[in-house]
Amino acid sequence: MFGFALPYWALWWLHRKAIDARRRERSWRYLWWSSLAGVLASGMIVLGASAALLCWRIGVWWLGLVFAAWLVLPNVAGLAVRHALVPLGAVRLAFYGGYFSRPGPDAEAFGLCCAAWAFSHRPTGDGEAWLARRRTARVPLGDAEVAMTALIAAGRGDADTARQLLRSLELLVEAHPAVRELVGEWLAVDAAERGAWGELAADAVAARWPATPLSLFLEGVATRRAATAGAPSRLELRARWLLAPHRRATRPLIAEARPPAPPRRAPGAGAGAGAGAGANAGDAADPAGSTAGSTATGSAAAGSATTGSATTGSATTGSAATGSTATGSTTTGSAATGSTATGSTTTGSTATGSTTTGSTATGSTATGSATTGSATIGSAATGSANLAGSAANGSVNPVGSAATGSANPAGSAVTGSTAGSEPAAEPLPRAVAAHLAFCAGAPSADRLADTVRAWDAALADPSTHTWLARRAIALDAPAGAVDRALREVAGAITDELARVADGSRLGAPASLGPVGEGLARRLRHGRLDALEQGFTRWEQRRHDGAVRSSIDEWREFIALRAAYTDAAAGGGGELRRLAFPHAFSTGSHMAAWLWNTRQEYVLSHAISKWLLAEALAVGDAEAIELGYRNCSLRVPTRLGDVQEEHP
Amino acid sequence: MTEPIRDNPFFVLGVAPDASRIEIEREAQKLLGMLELGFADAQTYGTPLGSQPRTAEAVRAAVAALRDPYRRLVAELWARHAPKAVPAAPDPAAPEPAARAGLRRALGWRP
Repeated sequence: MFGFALPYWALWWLHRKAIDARRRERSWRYLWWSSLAGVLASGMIVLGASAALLCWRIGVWWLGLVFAAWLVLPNVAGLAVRHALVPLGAVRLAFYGGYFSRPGPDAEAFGLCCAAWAFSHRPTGDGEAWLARRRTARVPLGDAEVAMTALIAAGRGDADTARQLLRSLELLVEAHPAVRELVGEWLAVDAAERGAWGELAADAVAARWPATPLSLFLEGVATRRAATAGAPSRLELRARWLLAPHRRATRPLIAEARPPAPPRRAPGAGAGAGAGAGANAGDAADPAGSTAGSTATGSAAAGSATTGSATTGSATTGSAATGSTATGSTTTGSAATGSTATGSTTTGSTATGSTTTGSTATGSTATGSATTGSATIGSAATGSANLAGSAANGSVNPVGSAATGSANPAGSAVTGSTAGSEPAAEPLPRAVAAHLAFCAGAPSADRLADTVRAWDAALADPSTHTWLARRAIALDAPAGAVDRALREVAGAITDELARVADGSRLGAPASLGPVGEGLARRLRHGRLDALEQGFTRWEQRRHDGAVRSSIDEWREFIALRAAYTDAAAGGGGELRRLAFPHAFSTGSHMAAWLWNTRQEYVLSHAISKWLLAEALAVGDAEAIELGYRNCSLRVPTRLGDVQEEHP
Repeated sequence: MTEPIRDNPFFVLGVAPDASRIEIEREAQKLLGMLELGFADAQTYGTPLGSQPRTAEAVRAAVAALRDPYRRLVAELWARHAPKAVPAAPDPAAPEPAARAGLRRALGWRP
């Protein structure tokens, strides 16, 4: 028997080393280590089966069964869990399969995650109760308990909660490698389903989770799509695909694993707005003047100064342009600021903030105009054909008055309108249109900023006041009606924008005016109040004696952390500094309570670590000092004590 | 903020912002009669946010609002400066075309 035992032990030891080495890799070496591990596992299976067969042949069949269970089963348990027990929803069998697959120390942790994975396929009340009992029995809470809670949530169809819980594992110092592999795979598959390839590529670059063959393949697809450094070659990606399970389902992803093609211009079509972010310059001829941040293709320019422009196939002489995009244009002696021109021929013109498509202009001056398909000779247009915040086809601005110096606030393009016959835009109609467009579409920080600025400009504009005063007199409105109307309108707009911004977690844009200032005030106060209430409720429970289970404490913390992060992202550094002292005070108390009273060392350490990161972000010296002290404590875990080093 | 546009008295009554009081009263009476008789044309009114259902209560409320000079001033401000039509902007937060529904399930994970 020793003839079998020694080689088996050697193979097992080498296999363990190969798996450990694989977990540190994300390159070709991962594939080599995987192949080696596969060969070693095969060797162990052969040796184990031979030992069992020998026992059977010599008549001690019961010993053969013991050898088969002891030497062969652990090598096939992982495969059995993934391909048989989990799809069948066999919670208990998956637990034992994971337990006996030799996942390293604390095998129960991996077993519980396998059981929760099986539960997620076929959720039953009995299975959930069994899992909850096993989880409650494991004190203190660690990464496996959080991961299995996430997989139970996934089984209920709550992918958001599962994602949030699994992401929170980054804060926990207890790290079961096999559990982390499962977590990384769930997150990778989830990101692939959502098409969040950028998120997955960021995980891959940061090597947040040890990779399974499937997550390594998906990360390869993501990094190739995002064109990040370290993306695998086509050959390597195919090798990863061969190594990963579910090859039939992942095969289409190989074809999609290529960097996004640069946008191709249709003949005569608009080139869109360009702001000098270009990086791919092909066949470019650098103009004689100064050029900054520009992308030029096949262009020839003489004596021009260009900033942040993208130009394709144009010939320009003696022009000065800022933030412009020109396609197929010939420009002579023009000065343009923030303009977009497609297929145009311009001679001796000055354009500011204009969008021009397919036009021919000679000796024209245009300010804040958008022109489509027009031909202008010797004309001067100011603030013409402008529709704010909307993408409009064939529409006409209902206001027929003339305006000067108007600019499209939301960068919209007007198609099908007739230049010259367009009524000029006033600030107020522009603001209303921008607002309606903002409310109709998906909220974004840029569109909110455009809307707020449009409103502040409109409400401060003298023409608005004049119009209101004239109408108030005509209608015989009471004294002070103009100011009251402006206040009422500003209040209604601020309420609406604050509601949308709060729901979409947008920050208040910088804008001096009744709407901008009101919105900033409303968002800051509302978010601060909500945060303080949340943290206070959390801490209050400590005094009330309303003790919750450890996993619920953790879920409450990560919910508060998410609210804090959202508020900080929306409100910026100022709100972060305002919110931090209260969060730090309550968080520190809770961390101390969890450590001293509940013996939840890993959770307590995670809270302290987050508080330290925030203290560093806001520059709170006292909190930083305390944070370093707390975070340098030795944290007892099931895998041994962990002590993180800080500078 | 969509309420001042959606429920704007001028849009409810279908009159121009510069309509006189007599025109407004006449239009309101006409609409109330049409609504009473169940005319299909009177059942809805157009706004920049699309068609809205018109009721007799809304018509009466609109007339009452336009009788008050201050409320008419505010209503005029919205009605006069609202665009004729605002098509919905493309949704930048829509799922990327690269999203693959059911991939998680196909790769052995739930939900």
